[in-house]
Amino acid sequence: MTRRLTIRPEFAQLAAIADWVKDFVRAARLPCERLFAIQLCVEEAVANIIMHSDAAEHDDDIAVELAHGQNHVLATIADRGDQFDPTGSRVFRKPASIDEAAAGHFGIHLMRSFADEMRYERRDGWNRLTLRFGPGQGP
Amino acid sequence: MDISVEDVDGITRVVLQGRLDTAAAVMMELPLNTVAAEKKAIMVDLSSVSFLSSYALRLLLMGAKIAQSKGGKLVLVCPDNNVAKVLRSAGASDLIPVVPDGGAAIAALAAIA
Repeated sequence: MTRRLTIRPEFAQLAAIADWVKDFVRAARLPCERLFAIQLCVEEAVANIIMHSDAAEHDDDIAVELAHGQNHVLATIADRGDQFDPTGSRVFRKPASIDEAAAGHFGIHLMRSFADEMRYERRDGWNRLTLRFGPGQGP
Repeated sequence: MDISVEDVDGITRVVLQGRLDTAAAVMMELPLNTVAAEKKAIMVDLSSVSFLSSYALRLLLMGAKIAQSKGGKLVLVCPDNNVAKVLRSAGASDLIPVVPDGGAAIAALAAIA
């Protein structure tokens, strides 16, 4: 089962994306613990694009695809902004102080923690981030 | 996303309800930061929060930082399993007290209230 959603690069779309993911998880009859992980990772990927990519500046739509394969789900988030590979970001180190922690930058770490695999490719002017969710329970 | 704030016996109880996604966290920033700056003993009740994004996580950490800088303290109360996983994964629960109920929150804030 595969479903696709195209959304405007706006925070107001995030709740609709969450509902769309919920519908997918129900239709695919996936365990409910999978729902939170997929919602979180898709939200983080989309929010990153809205906040940091020029896709939002140019008002370019963001494409989200969910595919249910044998024993796994693939979530692909694609945008036409500047090339950005989140898989190349530095390894997360837990913050040592509240001052350090309050600076944020947890999004990519949460995607790494709640998805089983994260892949990136740049193709035909699109950033394509694919997150794989296996049968595991996450962090 | 809803927020309510009440003061009882020197402790400020902030109740957040709903999905704390990035959009909601942006809206909660001003009210939560205001409480953190003005109050000393703060419990943030997360028992009705079903979702926590990284931006919302930063919001809670910023609140704790502001409270600490004013000599106060902020504790998180009763996050559900998924929200607790986010807090643990980012190391936030090593930096802000996370307690299971209001009684434990009052005990954690007793020295401040």
